[in-house]
Amino acid sequence: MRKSVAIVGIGQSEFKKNIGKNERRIALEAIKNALTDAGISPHEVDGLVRFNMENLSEVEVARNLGIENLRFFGEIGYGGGGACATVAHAQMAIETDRANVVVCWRARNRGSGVRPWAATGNRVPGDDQFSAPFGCVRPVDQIAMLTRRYMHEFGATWQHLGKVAVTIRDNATRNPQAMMQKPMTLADYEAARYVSEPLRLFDCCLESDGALAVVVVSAERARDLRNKPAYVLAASQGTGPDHVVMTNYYKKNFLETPSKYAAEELYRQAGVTAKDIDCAQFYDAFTPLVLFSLEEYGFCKPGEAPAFVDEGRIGPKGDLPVNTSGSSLSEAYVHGMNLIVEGVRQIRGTSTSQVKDAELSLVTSGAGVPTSAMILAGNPS
Amino acid sequence: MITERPMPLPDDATTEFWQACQKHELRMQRCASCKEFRWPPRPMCGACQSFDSEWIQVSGRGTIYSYVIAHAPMLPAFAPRAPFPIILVALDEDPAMRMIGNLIGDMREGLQIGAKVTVAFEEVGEVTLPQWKIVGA
Repeated sequence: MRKSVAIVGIGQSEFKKNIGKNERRIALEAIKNALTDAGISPHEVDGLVRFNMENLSEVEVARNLGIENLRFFGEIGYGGGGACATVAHAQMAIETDRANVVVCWRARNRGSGVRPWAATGNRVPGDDQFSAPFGCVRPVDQIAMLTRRYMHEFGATWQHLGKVAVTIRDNATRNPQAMMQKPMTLADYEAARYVSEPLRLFDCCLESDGALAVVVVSAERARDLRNKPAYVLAASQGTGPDHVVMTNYYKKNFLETPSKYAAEELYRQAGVTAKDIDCAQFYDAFTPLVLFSLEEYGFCKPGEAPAFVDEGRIGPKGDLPVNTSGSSLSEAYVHGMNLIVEGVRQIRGTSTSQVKDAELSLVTSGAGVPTSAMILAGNPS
Repeated sequence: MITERPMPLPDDATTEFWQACQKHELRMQRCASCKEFRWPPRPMCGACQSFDSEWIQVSGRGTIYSYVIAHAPMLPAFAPRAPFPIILVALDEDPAMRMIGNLIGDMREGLQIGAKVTVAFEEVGEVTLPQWKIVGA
């Protein structure tokens, strides 16, 4: 149901390469900060939604918060594809009277911890048995494969990828919480080393330690709280056909990602189109995902994203300012949970790259994996 | 980190694929009922829900559909080869049937989207991997 729930609290830890505290500690800090921000007592929390990659359990959160009883708890798979889905599930729980106050969080010490691909085993099961023996284990290789084909089909160049990275870095320099504060030019971008051609270092997200949390309640409750509510106008999930996680190469339409399906569902629920969106936080583990998302979320046609970027339309003065906190590329990479928090800030009017009178704020989660997305709204009616 | 190259862990749906590779045959799983290819191999046909399958020897000819050049950092077993190509091959029998692989010897001559390739099997210990050679290179 449209605007039946709202995000009323946001909280986070610092973002650092090595934060010097464990994931449990920073998760609890972020959750506590979010509840303080909402003005809701931890004792009122009766629902939790976690990522299934999260190391901290619901019961451990509940014990630390002093939650009497969890009426609702659940978890979302597929890493960065799941961020918006945590809120989507909270929405369903509240709508069906299975919970009153739901906290969704993600804590990840990925900066000081190990790279998941470095934990590849000697014998690889499942779909990855057809990729790992050939050295295709890193997300950067898996996304670079899509990128090369995209560039081939649509004439995109390294400059288009670079402009995405430069635009998002520029946003980060205005956000004191962002890890990357140093301005970057297109020449700086080009001068950096390749990680997996055609992708260079600054096409890749940061390796961060950090945690974020959001508090979701009914729209009715939200109206009595201290912050301007960010109403959930729509929230969706999607996979598309014949999906294989990360090496999603085996379906008929190679360049199509789950985002296309999440987008269709999102706009169907919302009753709006891309033209109505004021700003977007696109999941940006890698720069090309922003190009793919511009197209699949309907801001331009397939193959037109490079021109969209060339025309400066994703910048702070463009018609679709994107990734206004610096996002995964330049703020912190926390599986896209920071994109949700920034989407809320845009509704509240508190972003460091604030879009004037932002009414509809789009947030998307990982492309290349089963994904999710949502539209936040400022107007309650 | 593992020091050896990661190898497949075959399961009930993929064992026949890897056994065929050991005989230097590229055999793909096809639904015995509706004749749709299933790639990667799986128990059930998504088109007709049949559990029956047959293993069809294909020509081993294909086209490079996309590729990357992987640079460091990477798993230690691959590091001495870096930077090296990882390619995606669309098989002649069904262009939506795409296989990840490498070029034998990591040869980059002629490497481009659209280049014609043929399968070339590589023995790595007890496992045989399907790899590729660019035609005419």
